[in-house]
Amino acid sequence: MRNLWNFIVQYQVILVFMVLQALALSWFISSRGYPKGKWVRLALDWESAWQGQISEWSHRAELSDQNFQLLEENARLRSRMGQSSVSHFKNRSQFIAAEVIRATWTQNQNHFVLDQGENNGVQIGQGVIANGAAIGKIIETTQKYSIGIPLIHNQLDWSARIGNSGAIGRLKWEGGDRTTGMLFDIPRSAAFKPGDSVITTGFQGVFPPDILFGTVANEEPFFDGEFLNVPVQWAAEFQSLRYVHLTDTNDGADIDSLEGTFNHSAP
Amino acid sequence: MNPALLIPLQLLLTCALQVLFFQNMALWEGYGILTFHTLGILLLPLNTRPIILMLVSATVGAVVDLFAFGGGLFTSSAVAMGLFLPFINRLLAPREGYEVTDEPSIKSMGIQWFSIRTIAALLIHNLWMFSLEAGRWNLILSGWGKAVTSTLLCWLLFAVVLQLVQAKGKKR
Repeated sequence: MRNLWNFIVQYQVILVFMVLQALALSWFISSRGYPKGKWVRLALDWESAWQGQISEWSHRAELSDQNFQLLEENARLRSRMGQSSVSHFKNRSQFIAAEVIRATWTQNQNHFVLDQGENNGVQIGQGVIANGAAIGKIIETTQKYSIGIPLIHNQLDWSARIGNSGAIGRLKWEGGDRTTGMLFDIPRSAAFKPGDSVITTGFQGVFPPDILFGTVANEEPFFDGEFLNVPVQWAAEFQSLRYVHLTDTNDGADIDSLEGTFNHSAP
Repeated sequence: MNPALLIPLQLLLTCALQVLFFQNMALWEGYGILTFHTLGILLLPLNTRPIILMLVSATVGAVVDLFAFGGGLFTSSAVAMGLFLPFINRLLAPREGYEVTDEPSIKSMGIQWFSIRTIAALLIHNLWMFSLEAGRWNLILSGWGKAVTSTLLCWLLFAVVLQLVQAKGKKR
């Protein structure tokens, strides 16, 4: 017992360092790039009020009111277009306008904060688009604000398709160049060329189908066994992003429950 | 001002400025990330016990993590810096040791001492932070590049801020 006490006294600095690092790293690993939970919601509310104020001051000179009115009108028109479409999925799509009041685009796990929250109908899991291009998805909400993670986040996979009826793969950003991602698991037999659209499949319940992720980049695809990894040029310009729409397919919960049923009933 | 009040005030002010302003500033495509809260840790008295230094660093990092959605990244980096800061202080100590009145500022210790200490401590903080943040081996090198450039930018910012604050103090 005395030896143990002596050991603790002798190495107290290193031991405290290890305990603090263990706490910090377990926090880091458990939340890796996904800011969620009660404390995040509190911080989101407190700080976003301030960030929203800064955003308002900086945009005042840029006719932001008019911009926002146009954006809302655009959102209404998109909703109407969705309602008149033949597609079953598009019938269910709704759009909410929002402004990005804070964002990080230069890290490997980026995020953005929107000035719309639960009061405006924003829900966790909704897709975010800007000028017709997919941006990311909502992962946490409060009454007034919401936080989302963009395509340029190296922990996320997105279901994507080349063209309207092309091969389906797993789209991912692996860090580094913020203008391109990589479409994995494309069969070698798939036909495509640089400039072809890479669009959402709608399978994940985040985005409706046919929302643009980007285009096949003018680079050689990489061979990966029986599959190809295809570089994709993002359609969105993340760093100049300000106004976005949130889209809700209303099918995310249905898809999740169906997948749950499948998993439970699997032999 | 009474040091017992000044130290918490310094920590609070640097944390607040980081959370409200500097966390939004990412210059040069992510190669210029400012961590202004580390100035509060660097300005802690030279005779602060290592354990206290680490606990204060952890608290400062956790506050920034909470508001910057860092998820422990800033806490971990601040604790790493807190561990090495006493070693850096000892390496840079004058032959006869530090005086009781010595402060870790440009005014008290000179620009050379301040620069070496600040750059060394920030390098540890930023190398730790960007290595963790990279998360993959192929991104480590660019992370280290960001650590070096961000360190130099922060050092420049700290030097300017301290010179301005001290110049104001001298006038009084």
